[in-house]
Amino acid sequence: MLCRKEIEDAVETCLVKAGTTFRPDQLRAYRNAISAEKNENAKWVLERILENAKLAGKNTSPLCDDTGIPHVFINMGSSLSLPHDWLSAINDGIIRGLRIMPGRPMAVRGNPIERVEQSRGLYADPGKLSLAPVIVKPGKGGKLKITVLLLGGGPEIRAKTYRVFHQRSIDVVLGEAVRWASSEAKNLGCTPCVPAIGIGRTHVEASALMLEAMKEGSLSRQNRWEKKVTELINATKVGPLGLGGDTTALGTFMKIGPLRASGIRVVSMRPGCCFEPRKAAVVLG
Amino acid sequence: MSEPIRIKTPLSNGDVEGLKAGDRVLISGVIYTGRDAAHNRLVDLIDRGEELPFDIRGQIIYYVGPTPARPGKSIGSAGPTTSYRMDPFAPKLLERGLKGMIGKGMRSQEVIDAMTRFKAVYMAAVGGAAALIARRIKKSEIIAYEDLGPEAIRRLEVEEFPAIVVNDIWGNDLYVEGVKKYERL
Repeated sequence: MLCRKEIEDAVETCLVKAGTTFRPDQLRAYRNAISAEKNENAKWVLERILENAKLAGKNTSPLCDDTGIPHVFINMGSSLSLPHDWLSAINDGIIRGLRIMPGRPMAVRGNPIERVEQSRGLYADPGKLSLAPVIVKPGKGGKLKITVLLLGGGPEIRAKTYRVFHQRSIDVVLGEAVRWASSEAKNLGCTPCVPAIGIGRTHVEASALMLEAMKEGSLSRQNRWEKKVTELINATKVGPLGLGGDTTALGTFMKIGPLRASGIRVVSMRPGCCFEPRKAAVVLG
Repeated sequence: MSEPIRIKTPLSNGDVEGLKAGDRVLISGVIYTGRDAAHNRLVDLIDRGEELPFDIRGQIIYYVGPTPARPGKSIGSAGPTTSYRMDPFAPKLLERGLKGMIGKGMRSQEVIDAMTRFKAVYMAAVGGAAALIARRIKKSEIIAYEDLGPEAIRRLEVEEFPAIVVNDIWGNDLYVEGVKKYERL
């Protein structure tokens, strides 16, 4: 059986890694974009993002001042044996990670109405930034895979979950998602973006699929539809930082879930910023 | 690629007249931080005819909410936040002599018009270089609204802080013109 401390330590490590380092697929995608970019200012921006990532990784300092809201995705094997307080161990690992990194203290104080109005200020403790609802899906054998993702505020302003009348065409559905992403990319300020798209039966399911697309996606492994979405967004020429150029999107992550007989598909599109997805995973057991 | 222009704060009208949309700049001197909550309070002070917590004439405000500083460091990661949240407040600060703003994303027409009228520039910092920018911040102290935590107003001493001029005093907008230029390629 896995022990509580093992889980807590792993979550803490994942959170700090997610918030402070680029993965190899991100580094590769940036190097490719720098060689392809024709706009000198755009190239300069991409070089600074890469330089920032190297510095953040070296010093274990946050990639961005908006250290994001922690989300955890669990793949749980069927023969896995867990301590009864495994969920609390995950929560405590998140708190520890936020304090160590440190995360930006963004948690709003007060009762529900005071929190909405932000009238009682913020907690000074980064660990008060509570974990979003945990998503659990089946995994392999006796293994527990924990993925920590940090979701920044800019993409949340620009994300959208809504129904699309599909007309029995994937081009129609993705075309709408591309329209959303393209119109938001120029306002994002942190391009190149990495849009994540979930297509499902309900708003909750589409959002969860969008998160799962971020969890599973790699910029080095793109299917033809993901490539097509990226190409269409790049045709806007919004470019890095919105200054014009070829690299508006570095790649796209897409996940399609079970669907129902209906005239609509629920689509969730989140235009992740230039650091995203900030994620790290560990397999225990 | 042309060399960046080195500028020092506080900025004069002559300084901002010499900056064009698309110029890369390296800023040295003192700059101030503020996000929407702090801007709201600054504009309340102006509306009540009271003094601001710092002399805004010739200054630059950087839209940022940094992460906490680690021991021995002046500041944590400090990248730009989205500027449009400050748009309702910026014209009143520009009218009182603010000469520069640093953030990311487009500004409203009201802010662009105010920059032309009162001679000020808007610069974009790389929204993806928070750790890198932090290295250019040599000193940081909170000077107002400590209760706002990361959103408090800070006085920063910076050396060669990198940014790109997006809106100049002649109404040029790099977000519009840069994209148009590359649409044609």
